[in-house]
Amino acid sequence: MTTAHLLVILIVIVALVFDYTNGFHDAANAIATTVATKAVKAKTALAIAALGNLVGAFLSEGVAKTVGKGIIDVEASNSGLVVVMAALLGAIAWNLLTWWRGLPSSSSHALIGGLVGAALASGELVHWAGVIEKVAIPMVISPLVGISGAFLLTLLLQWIFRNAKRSRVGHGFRVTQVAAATAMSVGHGLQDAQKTMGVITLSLVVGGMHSGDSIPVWVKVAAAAAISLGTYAGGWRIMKTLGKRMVEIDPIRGVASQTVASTVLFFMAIHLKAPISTTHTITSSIIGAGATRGPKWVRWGVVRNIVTAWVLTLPAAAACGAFFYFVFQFLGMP
Amino acid sequence: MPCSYEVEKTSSNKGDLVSLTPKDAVLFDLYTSLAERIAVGARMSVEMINGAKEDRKDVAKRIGSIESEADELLGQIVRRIDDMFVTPYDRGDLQELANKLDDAMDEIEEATDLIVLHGVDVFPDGLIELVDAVRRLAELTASTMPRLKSLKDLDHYYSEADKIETEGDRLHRRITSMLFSGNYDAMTILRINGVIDAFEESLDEMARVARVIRTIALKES
Repeated sequence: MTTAHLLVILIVIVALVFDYTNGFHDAANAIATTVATKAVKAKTALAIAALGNLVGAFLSEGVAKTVGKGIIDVEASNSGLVVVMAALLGAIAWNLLTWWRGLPSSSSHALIGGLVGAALASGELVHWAGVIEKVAIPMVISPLVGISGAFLLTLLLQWIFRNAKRSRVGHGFRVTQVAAATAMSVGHGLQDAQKTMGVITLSLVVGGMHSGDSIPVWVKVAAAAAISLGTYAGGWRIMKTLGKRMVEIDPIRGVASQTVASTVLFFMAIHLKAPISTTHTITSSIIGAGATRGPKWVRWGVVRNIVTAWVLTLPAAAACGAFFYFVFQFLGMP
Repeated sequence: MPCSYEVEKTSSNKGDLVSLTPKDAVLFDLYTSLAERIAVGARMSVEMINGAKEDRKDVAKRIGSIESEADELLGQIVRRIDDMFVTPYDRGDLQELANKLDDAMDEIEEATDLIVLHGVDVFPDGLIELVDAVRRLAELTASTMPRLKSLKDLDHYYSEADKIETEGDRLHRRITSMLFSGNYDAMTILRINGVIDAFEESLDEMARVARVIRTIALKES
């Protein structure tokens, strides 16, 4: 086995673990809204979330290609693999650091930041136009659309159903909600599973084991399985605490937030091929839906976290990526 | 029947700003109607205490029918809230508010019915003031209820409701201590005690109404 093989295997393992923890963390977002409105049982919501992620992972390749090709251009060599490795470790390090210190973050931004930082440190090419168009702008736009879209849709639905009888529309709404929840899980897989696929494919190309811009099937399957399993495992843990720390959310707000969040996730992934923060998109939609009750119902702490993560994550994760690259260089790795 | 008991026609749309979220006008009108029944019942209680003994039975009967109207309104409110898909405020708070209003009405009905049933003919000092406190708080509640929709200008209501309730507590204690002073026989004490307890309890229920409205206003502001 060559050094390149070893590096690629390491990268694949680390990327899949990253993917698994992503699903694990985000399971709460995916199922809490549906369960909180009592639309379906927690177990059903969990199954929907896990399956939705699996389906989403296979649905498109746009985000994976952006992550794999649109952010940095790395020379196919062992030193190129070290760059990818440093990027991935930088993103994970920043995630752990923010988790440990209770700082707001976004795994998606951290991944992009890590790639840019490691590439800059190594003198490799960074596609700044891609970073701005596919990352920076969508990253600011998505939560804004999430907040305002869910706010407006909630108001609209409230006016449409202002005279509706619970006995008549209750069932229809539960069905709609299951559909919206499924769409959101698919959107989640569409976004986050593909980020992992992008990194793995990047390492395969740089390691000289793959060419062209297609995503190998086994990479898709592995990434889809990892995020789906992570969601399922994370969901089990969360289900035990559900009911206690539940957000107060009614069927209209549930449907409005999930519809807007999945629309944003789909549009960004399929149309713009932009990797965006799923957490920011989903939470900002929930905030927007709740905000129709008044400013007191906006969780300003979460808003602040999103804004902080906007400003902080990219440069900080880039610094981490660069740091790991320099560490590797210091250790004499190619 | 004196026409002063006619329920004033109120419109809950009067003075409202355009609301961002839908607010079911019928529901708010039902609350106002329910609160107005309490005010009517309380005014009749004042009439009963001040009026001639032979009229009491008739007044008690009229209060009884007002109380049935209140029950009917409560039923309408509860059914409406239960089947509403979009409630203007928290479902539980709205239920609680309707229940407390109905409880206040029940206590007034109980007090006046006891007066007639027990044939209470000696009214101790302070009873007129206590019943008048019930009337004032009931009228305040009824005149405030149209603002449940906008939740505006409620501060005066909270403080005033609190003040009247405290005043009622004091009157209640004063009457009780007078009853126990030795100038009344045991049977009279027992009869009057039930009456003043019920009036005092109706004040408590109306104070709870104010607290529920305050809770709603705090959540929605």
